[in-house]
Amino acid sequence: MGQAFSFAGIFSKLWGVQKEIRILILGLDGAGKTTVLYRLQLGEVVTTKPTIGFNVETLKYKNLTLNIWDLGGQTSIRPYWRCYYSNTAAIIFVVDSTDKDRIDIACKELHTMLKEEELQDSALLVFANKQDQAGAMTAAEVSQALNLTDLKDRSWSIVASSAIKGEGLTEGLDWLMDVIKDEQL
Amino acid sequence: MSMQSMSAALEKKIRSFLQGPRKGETYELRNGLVSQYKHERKDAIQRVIQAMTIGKDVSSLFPDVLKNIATYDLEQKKLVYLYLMNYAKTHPELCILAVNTFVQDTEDPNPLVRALAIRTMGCIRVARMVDYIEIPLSRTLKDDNPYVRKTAAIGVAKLFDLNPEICIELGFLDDLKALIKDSNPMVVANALNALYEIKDMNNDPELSIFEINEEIIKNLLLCLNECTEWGRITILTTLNDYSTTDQEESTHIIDRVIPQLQHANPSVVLSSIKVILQHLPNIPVTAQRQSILRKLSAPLVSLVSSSIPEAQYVGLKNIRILLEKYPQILSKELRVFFIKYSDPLYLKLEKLEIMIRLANDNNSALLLGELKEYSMEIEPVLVTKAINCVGSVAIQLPGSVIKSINLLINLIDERGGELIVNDSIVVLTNILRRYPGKNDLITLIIPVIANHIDELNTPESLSSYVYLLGEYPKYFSHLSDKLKFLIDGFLEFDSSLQLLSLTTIVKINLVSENNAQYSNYLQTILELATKDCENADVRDKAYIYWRLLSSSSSSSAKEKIILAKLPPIKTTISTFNPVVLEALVNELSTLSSVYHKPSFTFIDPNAYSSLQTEDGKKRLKTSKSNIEDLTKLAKSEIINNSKNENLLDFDDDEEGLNDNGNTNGGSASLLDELNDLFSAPAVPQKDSQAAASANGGAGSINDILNLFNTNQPPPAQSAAFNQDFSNLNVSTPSPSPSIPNTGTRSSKPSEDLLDLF
Repeated sequence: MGQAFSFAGIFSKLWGVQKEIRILILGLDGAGKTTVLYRLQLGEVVTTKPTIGFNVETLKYKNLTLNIWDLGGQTSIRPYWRCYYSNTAAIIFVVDSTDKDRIDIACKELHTMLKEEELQDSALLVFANKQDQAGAMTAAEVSQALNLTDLKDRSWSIVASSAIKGEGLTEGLDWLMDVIKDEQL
Repeated sequence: MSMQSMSAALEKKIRSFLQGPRKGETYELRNGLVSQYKHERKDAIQRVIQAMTIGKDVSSLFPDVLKNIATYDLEQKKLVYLYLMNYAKTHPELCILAVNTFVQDTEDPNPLVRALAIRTMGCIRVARMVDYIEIPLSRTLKDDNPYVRKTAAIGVAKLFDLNPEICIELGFLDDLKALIKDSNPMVVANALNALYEIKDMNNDPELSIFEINEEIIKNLLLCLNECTEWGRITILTTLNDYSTTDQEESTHIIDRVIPQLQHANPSVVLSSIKVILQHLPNIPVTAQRQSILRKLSAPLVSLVSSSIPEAQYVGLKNIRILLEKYPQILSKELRVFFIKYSDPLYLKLEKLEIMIRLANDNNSALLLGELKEYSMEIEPVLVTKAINCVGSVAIQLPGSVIKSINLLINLIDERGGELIVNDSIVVLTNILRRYPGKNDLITLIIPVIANHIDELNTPESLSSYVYLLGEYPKYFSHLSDKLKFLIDGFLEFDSSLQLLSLTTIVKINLVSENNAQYSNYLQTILELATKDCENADVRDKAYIYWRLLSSSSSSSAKEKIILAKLPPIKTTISTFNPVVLEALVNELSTLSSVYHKPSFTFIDPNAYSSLQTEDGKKRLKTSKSNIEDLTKLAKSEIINNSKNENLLDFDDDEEGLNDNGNTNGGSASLLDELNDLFSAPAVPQKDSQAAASANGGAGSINDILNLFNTNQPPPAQSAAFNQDFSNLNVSTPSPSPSIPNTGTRSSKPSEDLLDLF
């Protein structure tokens, strides 16, 4: 049956049905994941409530069909992230740059997650979010706090962003698309 | 530390979900569910649902199916929701992942999606869901679309079931009450329905669920015509529960409900009839009431013309209740109840019950003709019932006696056979008991019985024959041989037949004195009964006779006791006691109308509170009140019985001997006894339901409970025989196996008797 699926895959390519690329948006609660998602999809800022569960949106970007999953970041929901790891092309990890107290927790969650076997081939994009607010750490500071330089065998990047203002998101996504295209082809 | 170990356990659990087997159907389905192609995912969901509906356990795919919940494809959404409802209980902790989608879907532009979301969310019986349902539920309760509102109304009842405190605290109960005044009839009906559900679930006596007032009733009446059948039934139930004494209001309600009698759904029809009957007494003019009652006959007939036998059966059961309350209601509709060849047996029997209740002088010829047909059928139960019905007609209608008797005699002659002979002879005896001493009937019946004595083989038919032997000895030829047969077989007889044989021989001796042969028989049978018989009742009775006969009292006194005439049988058609009948009329078109038992006798009052711990006291209270109800029923039953002179086996001795007809005294002492019985077990019982406590409390209560059996339609002949035995001139304690005997009871009358001498 696995073979049949791949045949179906070939056929759908011939018929122009797009393969969807799965991207996860993760991060602690209140980091701005849902805002990032809808900023990317709708191009506007939506008022959000804490996500109990997940949001998923499909988005066409540079001829690719992206299936972007925004998972709730509350402590009680984090254990369920792993339900969504399989077939994931990339992870967008959103960090609240103003939340210096919890950056350690964010770091720990990130590294635990990246150890998962299913995520070994996924690219990592970190958004150092909320740059519009005063006292936000710079991208470099966040990178250091998250020990991103320790990451081996993985394409990763960190981009300073403000989901509210829409800054940095497209740059980050552009980088991600390039990495994904390289890996897909 | 403990937090860590807990999350470690959770992690392990989630991991075990994900690491399913690497091959097989589940693996393929999982791959399909997380496929990168939309159509593959949908296809996989369809296959999962397919597997689910044929009963395969696909719960292990829960997290992967859940991923597909957020979709714009309505079909896929419905399937995922369906899956979720089915397996939510198996993965309560994962359900929380669906919350966000539910909340979003209740804001969807499509009302179908909004309603679907709130319905499914309510159906997920997971405690954690309660925390998240507030916003979507209050949003959908105020939705612009009535379809969403009506779905949300039921959602409130679901929430109440899950957590009543939260439901009240968040004000949903008040929101629901407000929906009763909604502009849309469907919403009104569903809100009412939800309130009823809540009322049933509620075990807080302080909480007022809803009150019906005049204004609400007006609104309901306006909605009635525009509702679905379910909505109509709910509204009609409310109208039935609403009591008013206002004549105008009652007239208005009846006028509005009458058109519902035409509805195709039998339940709507029955509910409408119930409402009309409930408000009928408020109409002062008799002619008006009569004309309303006449309007009920056509809808009742329509219940029996349904193509589904089960629905017909329910209709018939309800009709029987109505017929007892309003006997005239169907007097012209006998033909409708004629048995069809294709009817299932239970329907045939129930139709017969209705037919004999419709018998009158105008239709008796027609009815007897039909009954004759039925008694030629093959099914033994039907034949027995038909023969009994012929007897009932003869007993009900003096004008049809000869015709009925001839019918039975013809049946015996033409068809014959064990079954027909035995049953017919029981019935013929009953007819004679209805018209005692009528020479023309006796000369018609006795020879037939005498010709078929050899074919009698059931205790009932033999008892009938032996009874007649004692009652009308001079109509039997070769009497001496027949009595010899009784003595020869005596020790092998059934105890009821032994008792009757004894009485018969004593009676014959008394009427034909100085017959050496008969007194010889008397001596033999008394010796047999006192020495060789194992049954204490038979022995007791023989001793009583012996002492009575050898006493010095005058022979006229003896005759008075031994030859006292039985009261004539009034009817062989069973009736409900008035309290039960009222209860049943009020519960028309519910299960109790099919059981013919008031609902409290079979519904556990604690059905909903079993999970609560704090309401042990309440339970005790309800079980007590149940016992009170039961006592009330039993009392009225006893009073009823003594009025009818349909005396119970244990008090008729007083009647026979005192001879001053002290009925009231007899039943009053019985009531005291009854009170004792009920007060004794009621106290120690803690939590079991009333019926159980009554049963378990003391064996003697069984007797009381058996009183209720007489409400149920017992086979007519055994009822007749109960009367037979219970009315025999000297006490015959509990001949029927349906009334278990207690030692104290049976010995008491004998002692009373002995005291007399």
